[in-house]
Amino acid sequence: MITVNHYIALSAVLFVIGVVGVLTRRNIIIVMMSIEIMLNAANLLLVTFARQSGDMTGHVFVFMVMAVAAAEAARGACDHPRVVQEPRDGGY
Amino acid sequence: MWGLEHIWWVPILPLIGATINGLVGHLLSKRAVGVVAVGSTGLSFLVALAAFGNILGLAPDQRVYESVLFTWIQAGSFTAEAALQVDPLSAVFLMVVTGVGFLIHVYSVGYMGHEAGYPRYFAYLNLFMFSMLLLILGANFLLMFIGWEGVGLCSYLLIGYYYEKQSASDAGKKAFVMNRIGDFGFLLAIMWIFWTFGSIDYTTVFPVAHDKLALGGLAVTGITLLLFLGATGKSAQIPLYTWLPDAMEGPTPVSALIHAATMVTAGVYMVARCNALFNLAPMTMMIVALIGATTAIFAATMGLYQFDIKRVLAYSTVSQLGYMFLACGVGAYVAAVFHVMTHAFFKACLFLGSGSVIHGMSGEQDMRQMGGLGKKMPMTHATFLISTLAIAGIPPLAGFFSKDEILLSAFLGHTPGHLLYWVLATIAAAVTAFYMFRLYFMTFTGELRAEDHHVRDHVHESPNVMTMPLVILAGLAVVGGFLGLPMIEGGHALKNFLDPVFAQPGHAAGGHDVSVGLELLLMGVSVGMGVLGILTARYYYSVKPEAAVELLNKGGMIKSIYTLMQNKYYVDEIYDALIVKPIVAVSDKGLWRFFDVKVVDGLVNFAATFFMGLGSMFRTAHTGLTRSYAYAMVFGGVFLAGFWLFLSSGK
Amino acid sequence: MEILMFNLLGGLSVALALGAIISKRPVNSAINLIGTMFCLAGLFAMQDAHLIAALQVLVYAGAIMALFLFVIMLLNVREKVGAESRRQPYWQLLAVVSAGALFVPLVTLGGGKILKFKEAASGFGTTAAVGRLLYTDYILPFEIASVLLLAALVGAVILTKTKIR
Repeated sequence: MITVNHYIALSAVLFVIGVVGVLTRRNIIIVMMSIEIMLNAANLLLVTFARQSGDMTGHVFVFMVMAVAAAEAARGACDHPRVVQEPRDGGY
Repeated sequence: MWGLEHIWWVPILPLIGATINGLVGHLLSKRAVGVVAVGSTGLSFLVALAAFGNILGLAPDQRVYESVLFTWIQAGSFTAEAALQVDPLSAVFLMVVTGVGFLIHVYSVGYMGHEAGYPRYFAYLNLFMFSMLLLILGANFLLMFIGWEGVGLCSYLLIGYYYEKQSASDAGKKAFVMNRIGDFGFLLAIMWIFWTFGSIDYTTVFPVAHDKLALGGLAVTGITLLLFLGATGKSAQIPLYTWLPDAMEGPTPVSALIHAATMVTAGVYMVARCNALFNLAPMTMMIVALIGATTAIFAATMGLYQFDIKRVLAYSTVSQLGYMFLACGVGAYVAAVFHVMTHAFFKACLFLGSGSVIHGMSGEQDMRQMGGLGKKMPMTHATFLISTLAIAGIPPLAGFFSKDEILLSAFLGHTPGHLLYWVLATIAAAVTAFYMFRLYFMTFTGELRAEDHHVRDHVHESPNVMTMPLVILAGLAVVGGFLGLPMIEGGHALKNFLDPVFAQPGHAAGGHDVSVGLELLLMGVSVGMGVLGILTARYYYSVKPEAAVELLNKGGMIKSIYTLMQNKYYVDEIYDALIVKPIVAVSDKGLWRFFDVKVVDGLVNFAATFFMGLGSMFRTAHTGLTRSYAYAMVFGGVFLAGFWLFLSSGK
Repeated sequence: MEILMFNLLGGLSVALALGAIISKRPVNSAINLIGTMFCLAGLFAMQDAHLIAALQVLVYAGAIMALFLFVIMLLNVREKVGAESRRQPYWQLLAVVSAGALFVPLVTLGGGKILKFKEAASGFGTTAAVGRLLYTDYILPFEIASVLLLAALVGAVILTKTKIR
């Protein structure tokens, strides 16, 4: 029987992995991916508690988090110094 | 009732004039400025005249008209309405202020014709009219106070009209500061009145004063003393009179309007207005009478040996105001208001006459340079002589009736020491006659003493725009007294008119029971004193001028008294040593060098250095490394989560 | 069955997440992360969050991670081997310790009680139900989110365009 506590534990593990990633890695792309892990851990909790309380507001929250994550990824990607300074194929 | 219903226009019209001249006056021609200023005041006078007619048409016990424009301040139980009140007392003042004010505006057109800042002058003068009218028409103490402050402001502005002159701007400041001392008392009195009565409306306060306040109690004595402190400031009484002689730095029409006819009588108006309160405070009444009588004699003696023509008149004004307060102090409010009115006529005429003389003498104010002007300035001479006779108390001119009534009231008064006051006032009457005729003889008779031949050749009669007001005022100084004929039953028109205002429960509204013989005797004494003064002045300054010099050269007592009087009893010097110097010392050494530099600046500097040090401590935390911030965030999260855990485990 | 699925997906997601933060090459990290996303999508689906599970696959695994991969592969971002990790074991230790300290309160979120799931109402987590919620009660946040995405779009264009001649 899977309980809410299982999901909490799993979420905590994922979140801590994300934290360690942010703290230890220097590559900005990997740091951002670590942040995505943390966001996903939070999303998991939101979905879990939404299910437990039978209230879909949690799902709406997850939706918003995804929107923010997408915006962040788009902005973060072009914020990378080499993106703006060294376009490799001279394209665009 | 056209007039009373439009009473608002009386103060508003001059305000409109002031606004026009103040804002766009410099764009208008001199003629237009004059038309606006004189026109607004003239219209105001006409409305006031109509209102006065309406008041006369009412039954004597219904002569109170109140016009509420809007509720001005409402806070808790405190209500102040922008309301005007016309009753016989304010009606008399209304006529004096608008009438004399109008004449002086006309005169100013001629007198100030050559001055720069012509629109500024008329803007101030109109603003003064507005404030003064608000003062006398306001239906509550707060409106009176607004007017009170307004006239003080305009007085300051107009005394300092020649602001590029150091003495003029100093005199303005002196007047302002002296008035502030009085205003402070007035304001405290208003607060005390509100505290006691829960209202500041005349119609609420005065009728219940008799029931609410104990006769001679602390509250009523305190209120009236504070009110009187305000009056001493505005009306130049001991101990706050020193600003008025210095106020002569202003243009002469200003001296006539503000410092003789209207503003300085505001104190008398206020005391008369609050008669319901003053009647309940015998101690205050005694102080008022004492200060009035003392000021009358004190200022008169100071005027004895002045050589500046306007300063003589200034001391004379202080002295005459003393008479008015003496009248108030012995409960003869009618006499006080009567004297305000006649004084406004003859003193305005005297000031305007002196202005005419100064104008003719190319700005010279020293009487030692004058003499023999009577032939060259016949109109000025004639009107000046009439007014001088009036102030000296020679029947049947206006000054005789009002002064005689004050003396009679003092003689018969109930206030303790009233006989002493009568003696002082009678002597002051003789002194007044002496110095006024000294002024007259020195100016208009004998030979012209001016050395400068430009001045000598230039002496001329003033234009009609200046002499016409003189003639009208002199005419009023002749007939004004007949409003208050003594002895004849019903002859005292002014008294009949004003009595409803001053009739108090418990006090008989009627006059004194006095035998005709005694009254005639007192009249004889006062006229005799006046004649004595005139004859002495004639002997020393016209018949035998060298006698005065001889008398002085003998030295001794007379010489030292002369020096004392000429230096105005050193009152300015005493104030300087006792009040100004210590304040300057405390401000300089204590407030500036210690408190400001050490304490205030020290605190500010301490705050700056303290946070600078604190900042340098925390500056090390800002490494600029993203990772250290990330660590800080994680530690913060750990801390918060741990704290939450701690809280939830406690349950 | 449920336990099996949870253990499988949960264990896999943890392992892949670890791989994502440990692997040297960003491409490997990204691939690992995509795996994590899929596992989480499965876990969402197990909790009747059908729409979210679909979005997880579409948006996260599909769009966002594709963007990451695109950036990495386009620019050939490569972590210099041993540039940082070998040099600072002290920092890594601190990171692990502090993360562990964070883990303790997180795990106890349930407050020490066993919280059981109730039976879900019919229609819970379906596209229709969540969509109705999004377009009624949460229309304002929804619109704001769209504005945010628009801003990110414009920002990305501006940031990249201005510097390129």
